[in-house]
Amino acid sequence: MESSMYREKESWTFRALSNSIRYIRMGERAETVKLGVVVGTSLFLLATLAGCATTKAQIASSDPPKSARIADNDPPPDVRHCALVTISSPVLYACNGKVYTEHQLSQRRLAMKQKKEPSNDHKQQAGQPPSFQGNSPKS
Amino acid sequence: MPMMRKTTVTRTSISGVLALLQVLGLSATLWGQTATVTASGGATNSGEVHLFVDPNTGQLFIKPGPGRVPFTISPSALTSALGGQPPVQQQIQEVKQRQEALEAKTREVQSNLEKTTEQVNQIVPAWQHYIDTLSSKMYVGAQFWADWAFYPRTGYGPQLLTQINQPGPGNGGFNSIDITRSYLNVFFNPTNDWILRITPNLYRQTGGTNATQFGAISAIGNTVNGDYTWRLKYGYAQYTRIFSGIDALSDDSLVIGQQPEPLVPWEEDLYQFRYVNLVTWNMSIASTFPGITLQGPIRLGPERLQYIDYNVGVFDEGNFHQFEQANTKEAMARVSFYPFGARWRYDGLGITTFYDIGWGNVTPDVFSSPAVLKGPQAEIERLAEIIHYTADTWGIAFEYDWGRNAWTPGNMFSGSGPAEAFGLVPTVPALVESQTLWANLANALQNNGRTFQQGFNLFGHVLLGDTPFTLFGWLEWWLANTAVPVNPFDFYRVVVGISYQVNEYVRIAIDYQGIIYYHKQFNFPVSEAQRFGFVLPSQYAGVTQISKVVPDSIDCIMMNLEYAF
Repeated sequence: MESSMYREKESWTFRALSNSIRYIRMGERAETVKLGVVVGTSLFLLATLAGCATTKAQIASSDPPKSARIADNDPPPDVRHCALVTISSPVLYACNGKVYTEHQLSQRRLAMKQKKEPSNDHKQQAGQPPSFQGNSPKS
Repeated sequence: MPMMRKTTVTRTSISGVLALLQVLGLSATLWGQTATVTASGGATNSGEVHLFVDPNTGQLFIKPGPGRVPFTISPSALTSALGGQPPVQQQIQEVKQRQEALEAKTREVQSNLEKTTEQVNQIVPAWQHYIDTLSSKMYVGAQFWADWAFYPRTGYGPQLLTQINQPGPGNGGFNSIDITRSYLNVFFNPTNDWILRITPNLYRQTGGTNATQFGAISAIGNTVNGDYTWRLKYGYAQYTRIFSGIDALSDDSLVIGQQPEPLVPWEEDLYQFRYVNLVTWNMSIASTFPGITLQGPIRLGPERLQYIDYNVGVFDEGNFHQFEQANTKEAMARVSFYPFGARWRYDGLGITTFYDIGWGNVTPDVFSSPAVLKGPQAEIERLAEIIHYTADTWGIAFEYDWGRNAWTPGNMFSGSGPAEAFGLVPTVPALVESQTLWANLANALQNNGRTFQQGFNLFGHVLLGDTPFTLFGWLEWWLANTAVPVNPFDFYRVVVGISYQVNEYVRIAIDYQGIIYYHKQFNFPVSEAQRFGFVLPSQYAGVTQISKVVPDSIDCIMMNLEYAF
């Protein structure tokens, strides 16, 4: 019963592929057709993605110089806009063609945050004097 | 010519002479040996005193005269006459000299002391030196994955994540909080050409529960009770200068030891959401093997773009948690080709091929023993063809898999399986017959030494606008043994979820994962099963069909956490 419920939820894509493969396995030209499906699918995806790659290549000239080296002097990229390079220690991210450790991204983000948001101590010095001035500290 | 002869005088007489000399003002000059000399008598530089004496009267004269003979007083005689003591001036001089010598000595000691103090201050304790330089020679990191998994529907099937297991069918509502990774990553690089990595990782301790005899009349319970414990995940040495003379290969390495398998960890990083689900071949092959590999990128051109990334090696047949039993070895190779060049590891379009060939991890005598169907002694092959494109905020990949003897019941039921498949008997008597036959069928279809697998995968992710949310998914269609016309163990695997990037170190996700056995329920003919080596137990003689062979599907809703640094 549960299985039949799930079969109804199967997408047409999976059903079509399933039926195709079943036909392939049972058909006389099984090997040829099987190879054709695999090659055809791969070529389709390759052509699709190659189109993206070509686009990328055309705009590459306006990109910063290609380098996979860690850069220290650039403005901090947001980790959300970076690709994961490896889940190791440390974790590496790639942003705009450059590779950063998670520590570098974190430090730069925090440094930028401090620049934008002065600390409370700083605000206090610029404004009212500390409220405890003239009073002895209470323990 | 006066007679010149030496005269011996007594101590008393000399004392008198000295008194005289003092009167004459000569004493000050007598002992200093710088005495002024009178016209014809007095002290000389040798310290002697020359006088004149009248032998008849005993009178002393400082000048010669009639009847006077020279009278010489030696320094020793003078000293003796003074009681063995040098004159006061001489003593003062000696004291001064001693004082000066002492002061010089003191200054020397002081100087030496200052130098010693300076040297002592400059001495760095060995432990301090060790600590100061340690940070540049080692790196310690960690990874932690955890989840809460809720199963609206349970069933038999492969593991969704390492270290988690669910009960079989009929246990809907089961849920568990799991830890699926707890690495302590330690890298040592005391020199710039060798790296040592040691990575312990947890695993769930499961096993038999036999108690242990403890003395003649007592026993203690078994402690193999499901603890999380640690085992060695990675332990290898990496030589990073293997091709240092070749610019294109200068980043490549020779790796020796228990290390990442060439495909699985690479594909996990390509997918980026390993903390949520396994990649397909990881359900068949471990991610870690003892072995020797050559690996790294091949960079070309002035920008040193990566055009090829490879990992080729020879490994034990047994993975990192198995004894090695075979006299053969397993060869694996992955080659990724980036036709347009990659600025970093997965950048842009890539085409990856992976091939693995090995044999069952059995001893040579077992391997050479005659068998109708080789089963676990069989040759094992795995192939993956992956075409992938990765950008900063999205990625997509299609993977075709082909395998030979690469999907056994052990793989099929790594998450949960029928008790009969593990040599146990279900506690529900009514299920014994059907489960025995079904488990035998699974073994016949998937462990006969002539099985072939195929898999089709589509996976990827995309950042949702300018938010911290990323949509990800993995669709898999797995054909467990294509030699079986309709294999009840074929399934779809569906993973779809959304991930939230908390910060650079932490991600969380909520997702659905399902193992969906898509064939219509049917009874498997015993005659068909016997083509694959199925043996009908004698107590079930006369049975012609194995009933309801398509397993129940599995649904799981997970919340996952990743903390890595």
